[in-house]
Amino acid sequence: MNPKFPIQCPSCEDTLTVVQLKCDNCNTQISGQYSLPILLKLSKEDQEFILAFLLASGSLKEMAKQMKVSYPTMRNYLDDLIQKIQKLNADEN
Amino acid sequence: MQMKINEWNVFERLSTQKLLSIGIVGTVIGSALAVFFMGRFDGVLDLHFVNEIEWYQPFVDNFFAILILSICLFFTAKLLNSKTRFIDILNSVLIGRFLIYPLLFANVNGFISELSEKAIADPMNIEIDSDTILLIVFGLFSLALLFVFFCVVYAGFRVATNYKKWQGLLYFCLTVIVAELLSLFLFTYFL
Repeated sequence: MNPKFPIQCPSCEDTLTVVQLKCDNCNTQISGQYSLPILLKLSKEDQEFILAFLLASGSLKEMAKQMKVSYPTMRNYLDDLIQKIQKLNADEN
Repeated sequence: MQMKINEWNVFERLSTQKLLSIGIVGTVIGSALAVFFMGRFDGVLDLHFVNEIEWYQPFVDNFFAILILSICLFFTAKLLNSKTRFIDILNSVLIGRFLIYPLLFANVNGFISELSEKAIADPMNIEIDSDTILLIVFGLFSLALLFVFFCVVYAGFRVATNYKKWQGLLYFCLTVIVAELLSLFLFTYFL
């Protein structure tokens, strides 16, 4: 089983931060407070979309054909995603 | 990756080329039916039955009705979202107009023309007989199809613009009304 990477607190739904990292080779553990990169703050579906966008060389037309949806549906998803990322960016700064 | 879409919304599902092809074929069939059933599309939302018709008139009517509504909606759509493409708005209008064509079948053998002429000839003295009831039923059916026409074109408009606020519906309705008035003026004085 490949556990889902949690990005939201199951209790209050706030964004989680990383407090501990571990090297699997030598077992070194680092503690601290690191915020997640923006890409990891996105939902699994959004991350998959970005990956598919990259693999399709940024062609929304090609992606629409592969996913059997219309071009404007694809473009709307991308526009919504851009807005989400801009909001996350603004929240971070 | 599987995208969550509304399977009932053809504008979310079908490709631009497929929608355009279906729209053009449907428009040609609708115009041909209008020649056969003596219908004129003399306005963006209009269908009137006449006693004489030239074969090309419904094709010209349909062309301008589609063009006027598409241009008006595209203008509004561009204000709401500058990325909107004309082809997506055109497809919404082409597919939406499919809802108007079934009304043509009501004029088999000049049925509706005759009933309307009778009603217009003596509007103060309309008897409630079976013909009048049929005319009322036709009127109600036309209104229902007009409502579905609005819903279908708006569904396409919404996908084309990606405008999610409720004001989008208001702008859409106002634009259709403006397009209707503009088409009435153009059809009366120029076509």
